[in-house]
Amino acid sequence: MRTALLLVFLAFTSLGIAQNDDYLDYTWEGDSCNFAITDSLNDDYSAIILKDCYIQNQYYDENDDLKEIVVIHKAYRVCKEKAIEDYNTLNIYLNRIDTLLKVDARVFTPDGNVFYLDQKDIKTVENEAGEGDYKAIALPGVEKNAVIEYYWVAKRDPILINNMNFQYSIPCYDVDYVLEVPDFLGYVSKSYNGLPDLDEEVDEDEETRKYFFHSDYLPALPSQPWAETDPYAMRMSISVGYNYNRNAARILTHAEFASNLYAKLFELEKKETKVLKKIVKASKSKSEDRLIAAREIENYLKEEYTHISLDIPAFRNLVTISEFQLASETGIVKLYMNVFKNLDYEVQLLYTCSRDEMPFDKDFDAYTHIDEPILYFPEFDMYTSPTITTSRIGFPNAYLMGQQALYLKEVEVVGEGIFLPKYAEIGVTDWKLSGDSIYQNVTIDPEELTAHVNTYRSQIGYKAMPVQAFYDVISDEDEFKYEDMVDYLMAFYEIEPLPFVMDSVEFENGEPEDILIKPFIMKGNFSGDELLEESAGHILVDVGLLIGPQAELYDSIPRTLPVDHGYTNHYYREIRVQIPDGYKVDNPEAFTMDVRLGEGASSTAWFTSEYKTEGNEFVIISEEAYTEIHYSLEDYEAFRDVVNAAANFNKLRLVLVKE
Amino acid sequence: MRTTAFLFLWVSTLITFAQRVDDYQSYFDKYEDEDVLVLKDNKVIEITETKEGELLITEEVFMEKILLSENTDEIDFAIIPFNDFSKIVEYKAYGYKPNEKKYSKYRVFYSNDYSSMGGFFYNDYYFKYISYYNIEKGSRTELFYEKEYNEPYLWGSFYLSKGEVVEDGSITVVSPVGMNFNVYSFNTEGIEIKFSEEIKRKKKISRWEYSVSDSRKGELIPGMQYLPSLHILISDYEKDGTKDLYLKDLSTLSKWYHKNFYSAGNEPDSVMNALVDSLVQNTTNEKQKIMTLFDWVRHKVRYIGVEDGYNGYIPRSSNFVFSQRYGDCKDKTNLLIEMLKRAGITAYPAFVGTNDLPFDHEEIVSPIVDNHVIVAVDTNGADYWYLDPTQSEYLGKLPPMAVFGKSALVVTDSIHYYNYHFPGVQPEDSRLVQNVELSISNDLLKQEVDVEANGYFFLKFKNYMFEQNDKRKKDITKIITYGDERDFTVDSVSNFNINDSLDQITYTIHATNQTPVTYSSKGMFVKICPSHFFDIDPYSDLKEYDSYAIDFPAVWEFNFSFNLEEGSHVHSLPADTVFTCDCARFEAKYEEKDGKYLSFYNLRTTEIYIMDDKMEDFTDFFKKIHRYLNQSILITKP
Repeated sequence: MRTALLLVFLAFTSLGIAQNDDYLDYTWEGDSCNFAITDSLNDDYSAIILKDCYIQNQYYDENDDLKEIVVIHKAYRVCKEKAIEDYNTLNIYLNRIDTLLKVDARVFTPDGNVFYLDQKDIKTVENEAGEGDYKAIALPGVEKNAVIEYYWVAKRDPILINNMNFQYSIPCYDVDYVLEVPDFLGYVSKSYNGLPDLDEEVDEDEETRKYFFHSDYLPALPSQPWAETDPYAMRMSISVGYNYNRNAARILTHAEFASNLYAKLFELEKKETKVLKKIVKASKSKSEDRLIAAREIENYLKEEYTHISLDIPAFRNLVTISEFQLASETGIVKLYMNVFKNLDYEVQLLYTCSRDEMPFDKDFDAYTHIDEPILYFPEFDMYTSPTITTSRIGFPNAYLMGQQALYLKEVEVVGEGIFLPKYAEIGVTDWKLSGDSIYQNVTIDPEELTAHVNTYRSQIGYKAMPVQAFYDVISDEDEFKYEDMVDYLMAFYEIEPLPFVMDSVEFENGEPEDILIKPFIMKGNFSGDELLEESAGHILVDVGLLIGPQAELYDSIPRTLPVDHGYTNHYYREIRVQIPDGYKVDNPEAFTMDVRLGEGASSTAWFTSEYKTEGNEFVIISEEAYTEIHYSLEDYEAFRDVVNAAANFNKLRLVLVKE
Repeated sequence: MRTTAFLFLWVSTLITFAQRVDDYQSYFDKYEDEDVLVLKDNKVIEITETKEGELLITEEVFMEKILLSENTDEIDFAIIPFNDFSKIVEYKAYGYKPNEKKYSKYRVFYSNDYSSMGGFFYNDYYFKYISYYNIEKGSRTELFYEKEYNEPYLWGSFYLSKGEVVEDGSITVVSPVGMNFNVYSFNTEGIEIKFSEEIKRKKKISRWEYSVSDSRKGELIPGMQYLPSLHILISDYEKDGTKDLYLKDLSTLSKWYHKNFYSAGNEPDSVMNALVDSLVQNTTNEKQKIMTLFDWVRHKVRYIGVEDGYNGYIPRSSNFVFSQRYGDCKDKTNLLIEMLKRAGITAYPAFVGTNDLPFDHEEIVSPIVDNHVIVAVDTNGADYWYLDPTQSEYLGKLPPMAVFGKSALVVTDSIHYYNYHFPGVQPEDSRLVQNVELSISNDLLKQEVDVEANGYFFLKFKNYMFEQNDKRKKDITKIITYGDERDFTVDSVSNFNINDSLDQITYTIHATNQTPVTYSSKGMFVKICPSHFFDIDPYSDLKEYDSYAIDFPAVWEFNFSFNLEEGSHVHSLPADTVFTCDCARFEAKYEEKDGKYLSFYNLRTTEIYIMDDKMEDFTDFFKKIHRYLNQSILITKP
């Protein structure tokens, strides 16, 4: 998307006038250490950012190419001895840099000395571990409570749209952002979560336009379990918005995105049309059930065509896609939209961004939030993510659910098709559609102190996705070693920490055509001898372990972020223990639990357990569900109680005592 | 040399063409448990003199492997390391994929040069990474390369195997007749190495032929500790009536170290001198002087490692390190020696190998013995005092943790040296004692744990806990006492005390076992035992390793005390137990006394490397402990 944007943008920059190369003489101010006093915070953090300055100066070079001088100027106070070796070297990665023009650093020690970088000690590390070159810089004189100040200036291709976080896990003082551009370019921006808005100034003499903000202080934003931090960070989205050399109209808007995309998707060359016919024929399902047929079509497309992140025009051409079975993001969308349309499905195209990065903002009319396509099938009220291998209709990328999105409404105007930009909210998949049901039958030989566990496990939806989508690959003996498959499955089922020895296991519905259509089923037999312990004439059975390892939130920490649960889901566990002759259960009441967030039918999360006796079977039935993807701060403690209830159940032991 | 190389490659290729898939079938039966077999590992090395009289070493390597299993990861790449002292002149790689009865041969063109900084800020560790494709069971790979070495002191060490079985291994050294070698081998028990020597056309041709019949595994063990290696080191070279000495003995090695170390170019430094004078002016004896300057260097000069080319052997000048306040071990050593000199104290560089390396200066004369430099302070008659200025913590009673039991080559001047052996350490030198008082509250088991860490445990804990806030301290103490066990939460940490004179850290944690006590009609079942032996993986992880490493010999002691309610008793007190294995001992004792249930556990380990041949014994030992500790006791109702 970004490359396409650049090409569109550069296509009308030829009217530009070459600008001067400002900031080449950038340096720090004065010789003294004039930074914020941070004494009250020094004990709490390894380091504190005392200056965070990011400058972009865009200009036309002698070849009339738009370039950018970037200046990064930072200062840190190193607050802990242990942090010294984290901060006394600096790496500048050169991947996106054309030329590193200038680097300088100095260190102010608490006793008043100043150490300066010896330019001879800047090393160039070539392609370390295949990750590209970088400059490795040793900073002199770093000690506890020293202030490190450095800046570097580089020339690179301009960054025209960007989402930037300005809040980190440590506090940050004296924050500046400056974007200076030729005055005929105009940018649009929006700040979030309390970050100051950008100011704009035009220097008519210099023919430049400047956007900037300053903040004296941005507090730290620590990460918390079961929460996404980035959406709550002080951040900014920014994009080129105007080319005043052309006119005063907004550019790179949602409408423009919609308008450009339609032709890319639906105006096919002759050869493409022929290829499309073949693909449509090959992908057609024989099922009369429209939903099953749609899923089979998707299975075919997912199996045959792979999405690549390279945005090369050739890989959005259906002829190339067919030949190489590879497609760019636009290519994949083109393939899916055309195939489904030709098979008489109404498919709607939406774009949004991932919930763990930021909410989609329909009010910021730029490409910044247009990151990932998602397809909507109105007749099923279901979504799919065409670029994600494991996704199937009904189960899109879970982090797109609940997001607002740009909805590209397909309409016909004077016989010509176009996309109209609209907005819609992506629905959340019902919690009942993602589940993990486990049935455990335990038989015990009290004489030999052995146990046998017969397991039937059925997983659907997002709970099945991580294994069912790959089962075909990992079970292919030519591709994958059996041991690796077992390792993968053991890890998936989190069997490794459990005291089971697997005697036999088989899987059902692991074929590509089953993915997220049929439940993925595991049937296994395990020796569970280590579930048993004989103590003082009793048999203790670790039945809690039979629901698998559970997450816990025992540690109580002040909570500032709401919970993001990823996706909604539920669990059902049925544990049947054959009570050996001559024994009885001595602690049945331990298996009665009912912990929930909310009351009765309006509960949004719960963990329950109840028991009954059927003949010589002691039966424990436990249910757990999370019906929302978000839980508010107010609900956190109740949510935590539900999570911990499952963790507590995990440790319950059944006591069998001789009658 | 180039002609020889191509001839060599051509011959090997010719042989390959003649071979069919069936020719290799017998290897699958013979080595059915192996993933990969090295068919050939043949090295031909020629040592010549340049016009300038420098020695040039050219090494041609031909390596052929076959994949005997499905595990393509074992063979689908090759790595050729190089650095400022060695360059790859050329390389060729071929893959052979079974195609019915024949092999389909293809040339491998895909390679990349990478650097690898590891823990260093900057070094010259480069490697050429060659990717074979179309690899499947039965595939063969061939790699030929030619490398040149320009520093004879840093050449001559060869692994005979990287853990694989080797059918046909050989090292041939073609050298001038007057050149002599010192040859050493390590970990070659069970490997027959056949040596032959002949003189041809004024060249001495020395040849070592071998095969390795057992594969070796050592996931966590440094390679030199367990892999078979041969070291063919140039001792001396006599020509035209003169003899140049290389790695003949410790004296020549010492001289080479001296030449490099004292090339740092230290200049008189008035600022440094003034600082030294001010630092020592209030000290009352020599020991105080030494410790003051040692503390200044280790705290004020920060570790940043630069190890490219001779920068790996020649320190930066004391002036540079003093002015920039950073450096690596040799830089800091050089600076401390210079500062001590200003204070009237004589000190020398001591070259040491850390415990990663198996070598001792008396076993082998080579720079490969050493990977670290520290300071040996001349204490006028008594033993030298060894100070490691890279260590943030210093133990007066034990040698630096990385070098216990190792030797140091103290280079006193261009002629003299002194070989010192650091003492080994006993498990009792590093004790971790945990006294645990237990109680029940709201059906949960509460623990008050008094922790006492001594010796190297003290070093580790001090490093972990220094400057940490309460939250982080709780996290760290939880890991120390409970490892990854998620059932425990540490509610608070108190009485935290660091006693540097005793090398001891003590603190108390107040913790809760979140697993509810299991009640029955007879009473309650509780598990009262250690959850974790700090620094040793739990049995569930341990059993996955084919070898293991522990930082130092140590003792873990746990003393549990549980106050019994009046009238309560322990039903069936567990029997006292002892488990042993080659390198560890575990003991448990129990008693009920004065209304208390008391249990004592003691684990003692003596080795730091558990090789693959002892690993089964070691994991069995921990399996027994794991099972044994997973026992509940019934505390009866009053």
